[in-house]
Amino acid sequence: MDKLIRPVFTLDLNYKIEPGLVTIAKYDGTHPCVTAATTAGKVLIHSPHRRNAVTTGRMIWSESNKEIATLNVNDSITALCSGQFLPDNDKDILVIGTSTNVLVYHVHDNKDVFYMDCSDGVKSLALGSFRDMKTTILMVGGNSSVHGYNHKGEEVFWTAVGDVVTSMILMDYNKDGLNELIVSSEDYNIRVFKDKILTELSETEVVTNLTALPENRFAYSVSNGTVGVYEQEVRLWRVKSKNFTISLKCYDLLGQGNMQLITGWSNGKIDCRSIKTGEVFFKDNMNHGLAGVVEGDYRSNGKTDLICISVDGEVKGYTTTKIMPTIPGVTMEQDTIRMLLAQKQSLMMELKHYENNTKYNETVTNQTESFESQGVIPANTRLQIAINTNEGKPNVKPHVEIFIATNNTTIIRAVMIFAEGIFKGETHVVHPPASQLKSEVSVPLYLLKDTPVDIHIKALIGFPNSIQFHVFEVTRQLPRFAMYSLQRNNFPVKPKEFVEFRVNERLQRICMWINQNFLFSSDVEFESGPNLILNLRNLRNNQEIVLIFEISGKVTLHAENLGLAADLVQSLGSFLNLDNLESKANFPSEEENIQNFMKKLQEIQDARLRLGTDVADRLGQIRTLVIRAEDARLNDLKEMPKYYNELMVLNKEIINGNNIRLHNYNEGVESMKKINAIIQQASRLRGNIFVVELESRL
Amino acid sequence: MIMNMDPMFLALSLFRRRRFDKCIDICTSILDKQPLDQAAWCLKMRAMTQRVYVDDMESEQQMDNDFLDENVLASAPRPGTSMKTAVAPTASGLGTRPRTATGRPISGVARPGTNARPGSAMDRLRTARPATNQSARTIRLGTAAMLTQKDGPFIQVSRLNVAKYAKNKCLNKALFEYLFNHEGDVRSAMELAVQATQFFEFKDWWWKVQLAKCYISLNLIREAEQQLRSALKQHHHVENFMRLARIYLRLDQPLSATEICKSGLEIFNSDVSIMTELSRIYEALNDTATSVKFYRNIVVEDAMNSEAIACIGMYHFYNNQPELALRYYRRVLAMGAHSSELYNNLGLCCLFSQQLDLTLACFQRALDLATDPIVKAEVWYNLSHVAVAAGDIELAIQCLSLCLSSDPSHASAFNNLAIFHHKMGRTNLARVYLTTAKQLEPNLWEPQANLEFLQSK
Repeated sequence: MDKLIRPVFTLDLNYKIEPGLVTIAKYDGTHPCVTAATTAGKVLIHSPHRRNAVTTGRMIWSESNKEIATLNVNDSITALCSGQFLPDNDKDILVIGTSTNVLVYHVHDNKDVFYMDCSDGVKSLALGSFRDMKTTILMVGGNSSVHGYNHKGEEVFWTAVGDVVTSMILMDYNKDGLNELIVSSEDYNIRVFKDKILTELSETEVVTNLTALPENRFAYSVSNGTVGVYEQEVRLWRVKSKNFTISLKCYDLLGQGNMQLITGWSNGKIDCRSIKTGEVFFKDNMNHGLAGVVEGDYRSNGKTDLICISVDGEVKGYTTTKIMPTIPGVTMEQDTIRMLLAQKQSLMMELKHYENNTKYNETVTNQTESFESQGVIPANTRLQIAINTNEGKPNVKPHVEIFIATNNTTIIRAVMIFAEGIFKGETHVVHPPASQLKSEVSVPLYLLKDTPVDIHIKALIGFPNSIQFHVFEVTRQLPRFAMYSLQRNNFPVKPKEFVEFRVNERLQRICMWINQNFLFSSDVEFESGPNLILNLRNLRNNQEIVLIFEISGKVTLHAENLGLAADLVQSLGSFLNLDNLESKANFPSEEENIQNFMKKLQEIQDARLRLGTDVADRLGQIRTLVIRAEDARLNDLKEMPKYYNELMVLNKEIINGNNIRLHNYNEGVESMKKINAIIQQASRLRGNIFVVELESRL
Repeated sequence: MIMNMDPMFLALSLFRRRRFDKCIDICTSILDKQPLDQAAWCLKMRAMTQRVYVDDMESEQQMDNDFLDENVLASAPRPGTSMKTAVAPTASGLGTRPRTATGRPISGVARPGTNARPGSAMDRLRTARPATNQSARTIRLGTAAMLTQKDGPFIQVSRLNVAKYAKNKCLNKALFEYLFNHEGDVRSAMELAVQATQFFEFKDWWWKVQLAKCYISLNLIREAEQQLRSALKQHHHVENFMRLARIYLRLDQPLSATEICKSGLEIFNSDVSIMTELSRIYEALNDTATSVKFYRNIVVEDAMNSEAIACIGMYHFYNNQPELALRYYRRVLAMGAHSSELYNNLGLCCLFSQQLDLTLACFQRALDLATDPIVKAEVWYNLSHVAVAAGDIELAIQCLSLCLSSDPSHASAFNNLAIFHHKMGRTNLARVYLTTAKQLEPNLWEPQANLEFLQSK
């Protein structure tokens, strides 16, 4: 398919744009203005309609910047967002996030709506309605938490997220007519919040972008170059590329009546894909990496255009092209014929293989040796797979092992394992040296996270000197808690940290949960007695875990690790379809940690204040000195070096001060993150006293 | 008899009667005898602070340092939403109001900030006037403090145990004011304020306002805004509203400032200070009608408010009602104001309302009272208008020459001089004057238009 869609307009902003920090808004309620963050810490507003505006007052718009106005932010801009925010006001509001604060700015009236310090940093912004709240909410995602503010700057929502928030959208996720908050964070997760976490989706790398699509779907992009679409928990498709995505946008470029997904890539590629299948309809290239893709009526003709902005300030506009790119009839026919011929050929090949195979199986049933030379294996060859926990030996780390064996003398040449998120990359290949080829292979797996994983195994089976091998494909699911091995005898001491709650379920049901989610050599069954006790050992760090299920329904989980306890509770809760669970938790060490972090944070904040005034004071001195030096340059040249020397000393001091401040800031962020991580995990133990107590203390 | 009085009581009485020097002397003698007398110490601090206290809300130093200042957000805001890009009013009968190069009206009333000469801050700074945030006022206060203390400073700031005094309810506020106003030591004052707010668990709005003051003088505008907002949540105070409005003016967001003022007016119905602030902002935005509306409200509340009366007078003057303007200015005169500018305005009103007998008398007074050469120049410039009205071009030329002898950089005078010389047939001289006028104030459009007119001939 040739490029049939051409840009309808191109222009140059002559500013370097930060990738990802581009938005479009109607500040006066009618005319859209592309707004972007420049690399110099400014926000530029491009208003093409200003060309026609009468110049009023003494402000003369120079020819070069007639259409561009800039806003000084004096800090590196980390997030940009715009939209209607004030009730009963159709003018769009611009929200600028920097590393320490968020500014909500009414561009049309040149006034602040509010300005707020965000000690947690601002990494992502989203405007929209949330839950059943009537007004628009501004969501601010920081280093480890999400805060929601209303238009008065009052905090109306708060939640902890495990790691740095990378992107947020507000959309109706579960088709209940109300918006949910979807947050992606640097711990590879996408979480859906309503009152509590609805769903957690895991990806293999950091999710960088989220975009709401029509029909309750959303698109995501991952920092390893993957783009995909989710419909609720189901991933419709994903593709991977060696570049990574900067911007996602849905727009009907082809005039099909429904939207397509437009993706802007870091290498300047723009492509348009079907939302349902991911099939590429259209591609174009810009000279530089994309900075953002937005949509707006930029030609004042009543229709919205797709506007692509590159990091170099180049702007290209595309519009809906009604004519589908039709290929002339002749070529279409030829293409079809060629395709059918190719298909025929491959089918013929396959048929031939089958014929060969059957021939050998029939004629030489008892001449096993001759198989080898022919690259054919006995028809009754089966692949046996066992997945077990291995507690390790002194020189081998404990791991989960996949044991693959054939049922006859054939050997396994190589094994390829596809699985998400347990290897670096997505594939793991085991190919023993030729001398050690056997009919069995065991593959150790070191799982970092407790997530259920689908493993696709492809084994090459043949004989030691075969040239061709047969491929066996098997899919297995690793249970969520695979990295825990069952211990036969009781531990002398139980870990003192525990979670306790009550479920009204038969123990048989709980056994089912255990068998589904753990990797034990034999299924656990409950025979009799007052309770069922499981003694587990964590293969990662050798910690001991004791699960006690009493017949009365009381469940006690003893685990040192708060996160693990939370995972267990969540998993059991979702298995038993529990909406609400009253639990009691006791994690003295975590509580102590959190207190220490709080104390540290307090100290850091105190120091920050002092450092801030130090810098401001020096800035004042610098100003005076610059003026004095300038004055001396005109009046008294001899004095000038003195002032400039002083200036240099001050400059050095200020740089030192800044380094200290940076260090202090990083420490603060670190502690904050840890606190929030603990809170987040604790909250997953569901509404227990510990969390409530903690939150009140924050 | 005085000798029998308790010295402490006497000092208090002197303080109340605002005889600070005497009060300080008595306090010093008490402290000589009892160096740890906290009451005397506190009173001495208060007296020393009061002696040099300047109302910073109405001070001349409007810290409008655009040099190296990056607090202003928008570089090219929409006209009417910024002090820099106010909408130009349409020309009315008496012609447009004279403006400075930056578009600010020249005439009106002298109020804080209007005395600044046109041009950028950098130009102003070349005149060796320190105008950074630690401004002239602070420096002057510092020297004032030094003069009076013969045997060393009263309080060694560097040796002060700030943490101890921050917790002392009786002393901390007085000490803060002393540090901030008398010593001009913003850093120490701020440290005290920070510790005091923490000690009072962020519940005392007064400390927040003081912190905001410190932040403003350190040029940390946003921090100041936060403090003031939080102070306003705890306690409504006229001063807080006004300070917050000032902050927004400094951020060049006049609409936010008016919003704050209006919310202040909702709580303090028809408060004169807030209304004054509002009308000043509207005037700066060239929205004279609204400005005058508020000035009229002020006059209803406070019939002696000379600023409001003068501004209403000016409004009428530029609205082709010099007779009405004359009445307002006479009211100001009757209230005891006695200045060159006022007589000048009266003279102009008389001229335009055809009361020629009083015109020259008024200008005579204005000239007598004018000490500042710039004011004198303006009076002569206005006198040239009187001469024009009388049809005496020679006199007009003389008036303008006198104006230029007082203020050689008066561009409009050069322009008018050029016109008269052209009328007298001295075209080349006219051209030279016009070029000078254009050089002096490139933004003035009249010399440019006149030059083009001469060129086209």
